Amino acid sequence: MEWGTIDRRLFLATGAGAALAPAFTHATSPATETRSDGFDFLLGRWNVRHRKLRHRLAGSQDWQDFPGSLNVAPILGGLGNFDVNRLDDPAGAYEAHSLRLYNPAARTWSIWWLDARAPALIPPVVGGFSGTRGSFFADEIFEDRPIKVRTTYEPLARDRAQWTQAFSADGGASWEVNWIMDFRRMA
Amino acid sequence: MSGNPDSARDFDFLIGRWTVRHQRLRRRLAGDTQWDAFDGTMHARLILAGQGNFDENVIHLPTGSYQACTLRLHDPHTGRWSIHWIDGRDPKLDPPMVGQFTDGVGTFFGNDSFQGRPIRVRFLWTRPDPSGARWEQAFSVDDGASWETNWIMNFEPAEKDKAA
Repeated sequence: MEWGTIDRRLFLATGAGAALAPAFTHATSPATETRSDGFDFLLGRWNVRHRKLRHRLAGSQDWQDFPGSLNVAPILGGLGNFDVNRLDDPAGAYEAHSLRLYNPAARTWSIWWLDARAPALIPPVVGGFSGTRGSFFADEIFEDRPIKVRTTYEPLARDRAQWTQAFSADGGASWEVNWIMDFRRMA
Repeated sequence: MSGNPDSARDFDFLIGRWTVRHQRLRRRLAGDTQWDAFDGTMHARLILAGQGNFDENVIHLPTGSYQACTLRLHDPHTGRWSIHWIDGRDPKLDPPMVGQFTDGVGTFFGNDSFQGRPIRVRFLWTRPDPSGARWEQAFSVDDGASWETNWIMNFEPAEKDKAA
C-alpha cells in the first residue's frame, strides 16, 4: 500500500491551492474553465482513506486515519450529482451525502454536505475548476469566530482522486487543511 | 416541542420506483379550469440512514421532458420534514416546504412569489389507495384563507416494483 503517513508534499500542494482563492471569493465570479462536466471524473464507486485532523485551528498535528466508501451518481441529466458516503469513523460509523449542482449562468458549482448525525442543510461551498482542480468556498462560524472554508477536488490519476478541506481564520490569507480524502476507484 | 418518534418513517411509503400521472393547471391564479395531463417517472431512495430521502423525477411535459429532484430531510427534534425541490432546468435548491404528517396526511407549507406577488404554497401528500400515493400543490394569495390546486401527481408502483 502507498498509504503513508501525512506527506509534506500534500501540504505544499494544498497550500499552493490557496492562491486560487481570490478568484472564487465571490460565489458569482465565473470560473472560465468551469463546466457541467467538471465532476465527471468523480462518478462511480471509490474506496476512501480519510485523514482528519483531530483538533481544528488549534495547531494540532494529531490526525485520525480511517476508511470509508463513496458512490457518486449523476442527477438532472448531468447538471449535478449526488453521492453516498459511508465513513468508518472510529467514534462511530455514519452515512453522509454530497449534493452538487451546476449553475450554468454563473458557471459555478454549489456543494452541500449532509451528515446523518445532524441531518440539516448548511450553506454550500461554491466555486469552480481551474484546470482539473476544483476549489470551493464558504463563510462559516467555527467556535464562535468567522472562518472561511475551502474544499478542493482533484483527479490525480485514472483511478485516484483527492478531496481536501481547509479552514482559514484570517480571511483566506492562510489555510489549515483539516480533512483529506484519498479516493481509489473500486475494481 | 418533541416530535413523534416514528415521524422519520413517514415517507417510507414513497421509497421505490413509480409511474407518475401528472395533472397540471394550465394557468395559475387566473381562474383557469384547463388542465394538462402528462406522464413521468419517479425514483425515491432513503438517505442519511433513514433521516431523509432523495428522489429523481423525469417529467414529460407537453412542451418537452425535464428532470427534477427532491431532497427531504427529517428533523428529529420537531418531527417535521423540510422538502427541497430542485428543478433541473435551473438547478438550485429552492427554499424548503416544511410540515408533517397528521392522521396519514402530510401537509407542508412555504412562501414564494408568483408574478411579483407573495404567495403561500402548500403540498399535500395522501394515500388514496394502499399501493399508490398522491401529491398536490396549491397556491394561496390570501395567506392561506383560500387555495387553488394547480398540480397533482398520482403515483402508481412501476412495473418492476409491482412484481416485488
